[in-house]
Amino acid sequence: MQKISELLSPAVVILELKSKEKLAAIRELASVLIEQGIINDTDEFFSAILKRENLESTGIGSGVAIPHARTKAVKDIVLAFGRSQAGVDFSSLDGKPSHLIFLIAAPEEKKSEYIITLARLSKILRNEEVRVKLNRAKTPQEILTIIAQNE
Amino acid sequence: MLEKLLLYVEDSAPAKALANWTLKLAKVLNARIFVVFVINQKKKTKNQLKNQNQEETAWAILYEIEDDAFEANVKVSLILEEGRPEDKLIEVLTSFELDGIIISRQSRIDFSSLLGQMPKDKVIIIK
Repeated sequence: MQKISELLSPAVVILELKSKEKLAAIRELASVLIEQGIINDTDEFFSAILKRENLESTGIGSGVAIPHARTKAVKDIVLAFGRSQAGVDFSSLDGKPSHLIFLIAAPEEKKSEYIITLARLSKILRNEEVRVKLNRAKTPQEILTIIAQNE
Repeated sequence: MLEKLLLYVEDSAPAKALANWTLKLAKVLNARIFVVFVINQKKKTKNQLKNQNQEETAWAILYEIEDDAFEANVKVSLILEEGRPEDKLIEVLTSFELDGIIISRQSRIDFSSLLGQMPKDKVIIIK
């Protein structure tokens, strides 16, 4: 089971998302995974992510959103991170916009690894100190270091 | 009408069976389920690692139910709270204006305290 910090790389970190709206933010995050050649079927990937977004809010509150899906479009668990100073509305139950957005996708058959990854990341991000550090980080490498230090 | 229901889950085998039953009910009622896990403050220890593991387990239970709900085409929201479970359930029930609570009869919750706090216009299903 890979660590969260091992699933991330500086190339899939966007320190300031241009998008102000949920679907555009997801597309912007997915674009870095596409550029890295990690997603093998873009349409299938979006379809899986959006289907889930339509059914449930992936905003977990406290300024955090974790859009996620299991899909045939990836061969392994993949992760991208984006930050938005203005915040993006992910319909979080606390009504607050999301500033820290992690996009997770996993192959259909890797359900338990996918659940553990989601659980581990949610636990890390529930820590206010970690959220403050992630919001203040100045480089993608710093983001990775903060995650690594807290898992 | 039961359109928004709170499902209270714990780290136990009955919780999984209860979640499956609730998803079937939600499908029939076309209801949205608010799945709630409460980390009991009393059971938190000085061992930070143990507390973190407890939190990760709680999230895993919530996400597993979410994944099952997705497969069943049922709308869900996940809520992780910390505190006294009976109080937190009432807090979530009233703040999100939910219609009722679904809870396992094998739950470790203090039923008398929960029932004593239940608003009269809300439903409680003990399965």
